[in-house]
Amino acid sequence: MKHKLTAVSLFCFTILYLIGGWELKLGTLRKPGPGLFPRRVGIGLLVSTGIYLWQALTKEAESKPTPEPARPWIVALLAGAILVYPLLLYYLNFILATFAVVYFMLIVLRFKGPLWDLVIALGLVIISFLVFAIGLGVSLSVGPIEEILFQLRG
Amino acid sequence: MEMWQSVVHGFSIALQPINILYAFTGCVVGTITGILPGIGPLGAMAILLSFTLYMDAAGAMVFFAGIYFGAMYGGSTTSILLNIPGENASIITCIDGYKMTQNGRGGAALTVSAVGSFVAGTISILGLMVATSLLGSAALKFGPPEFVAIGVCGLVLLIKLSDGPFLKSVIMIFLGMAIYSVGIDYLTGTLRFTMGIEVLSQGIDFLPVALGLFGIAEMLETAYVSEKTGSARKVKFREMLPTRNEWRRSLPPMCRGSVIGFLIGLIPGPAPMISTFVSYITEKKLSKHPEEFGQGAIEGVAGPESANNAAVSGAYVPLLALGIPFTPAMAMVLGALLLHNITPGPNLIQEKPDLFWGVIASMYIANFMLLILNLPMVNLFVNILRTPMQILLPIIIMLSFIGVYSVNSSPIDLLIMALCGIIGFIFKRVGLQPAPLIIAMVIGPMFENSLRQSLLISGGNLGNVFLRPISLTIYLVTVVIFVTPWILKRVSNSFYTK
Repeated sequence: MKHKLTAVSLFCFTILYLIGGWELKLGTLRKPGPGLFPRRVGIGLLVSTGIYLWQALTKEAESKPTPEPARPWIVALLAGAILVYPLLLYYLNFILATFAVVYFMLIVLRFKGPLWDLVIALGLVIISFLVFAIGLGVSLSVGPIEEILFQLRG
Repeated sequence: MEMWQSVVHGFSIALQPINILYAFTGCVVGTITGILPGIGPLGAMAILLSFTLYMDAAGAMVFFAGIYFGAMYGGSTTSILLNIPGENASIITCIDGYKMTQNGRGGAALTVSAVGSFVAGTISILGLMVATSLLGSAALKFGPPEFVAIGVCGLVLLIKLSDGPFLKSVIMIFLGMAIYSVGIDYLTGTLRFTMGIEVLSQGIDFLPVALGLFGIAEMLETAYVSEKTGSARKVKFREMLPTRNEWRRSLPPMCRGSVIGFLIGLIPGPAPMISTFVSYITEKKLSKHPEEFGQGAIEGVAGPESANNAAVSGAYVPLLALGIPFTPAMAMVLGALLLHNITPGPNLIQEKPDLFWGVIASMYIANFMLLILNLPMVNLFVNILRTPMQILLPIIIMLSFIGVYSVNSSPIDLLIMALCGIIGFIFKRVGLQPAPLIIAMVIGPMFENSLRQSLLISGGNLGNVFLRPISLTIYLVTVVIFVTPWILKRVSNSFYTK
């Protein structure tokens, strides 16, 4: 099933890419336009993903043995946390957003229990801010809490 | 003579305290990633790519060389002591290395592995110096049509890069080029595939895509399969001394492994891993006691361990001389250079001699550092295996967030990284290897720009673009390189069946 879904997704992406590429000027051999390369790439994608789709729909997919114990729900939760992080960062800035995501991941991965995980997540985030933003001057998203840490440094 | 002066100059750069620090840090990080199953040098390089912005270009190269070489050393440690290959390139070492540990000679195996890696590093770096200089001088005659040929060569050979089926590699190459083509077309100023989103007009950066496909996807995969941690018996220092007979039996395989590894490193694909298999088969074939292989033959450790290190140096040749990465790890190295606005290629030696010779010298220093670091600290490094994945995973993901955000301060880059991480995980589950995609993203711009420039210069004459003598030679070499691994595979199979 996963092969079929991937093949369909890739084929849909190809169609969208081809439509986008077709709107670009192809130019001539003497004066090639911006559409020359994307159109060739699009055709290549159409052929290759088309064959892949056909194979996925007609052949019995070789199923890769699932490792034991596989934990898809953990991956789903971690992936969700990683996806939400940019949004959290935008609204909460580095320390709060990163703390929330790291704490959530520690809980999902069942590290030491909620209280210890909270302490560890907080420690990790503060240390990383001190090392990267204050120590190494790395540019991170800064809000009121981060400002306080900067001011403490003097 | 001029080359040796350059080497001395390179050492004067490499021995600067800051570069020694980068080499040391790279070696330690590389060894740790080699020891820990699942992360690997590629993941480490992807995660740390953005941090190289805070180093100068030479420092970044030194750092990455340390990681790559260190991973080869680290992978062998767990193969020998625990029968766990931290790296693909150390799988074959498990066979005889772990047997030696069971026979009470694990310490000697570690020493032979470390010395073999050092010998290989030394020999292959000499090869790298000569090959890159020769290839670089020849490549100075290149114009846009020759770069088109190089681009074709790179893209065709990319198919060889992944272990997966031909069709899947082709899909990934086209996907990589499709991702590259998003953004402004620099020759005409036309916007391509931006869908009216302003941020996309600058194109999709290499870094978040690479970090997502390799770093984040690898972490999700690790969470999915729930890695177990291991522990090993401590190795006493006096157990590390090989006997005279073990030394005598190890030296020829080390030299042969170095040559085999360097030559295979020049061919696209998972060169370090392939080189270990070829070296192992060669040693078994040449040995007077082939029956000892699989029972703890020291040649089965010395040859492959030398070969995988030499292959690392060999892989640098096409990158430094032609600007084409033949392996995903080299794509990361190229990414680090591009972050510093340096495009490697034929002119690199002339334009950036400090960088080029500094990197060569640093490789040697990294190898020496690993030799003196890893043997005394082997027990410490093995203890790292006890670190639970539950804590490593959030730390690595957090580092990835910091790394990507620090480059452009853009949450969009974080979103791209997250999406690529999820897509990369799905790709892994269905057997689509991300390596060709990432390299196609790097080669794509060079190929498109050179092709369009060539067509403009030649007035649309395709003969002038594709049939120039150097171009034809490159196409011929491409065919040779394309079929060589196939021949090697056939030869290996025939050895196996015999």
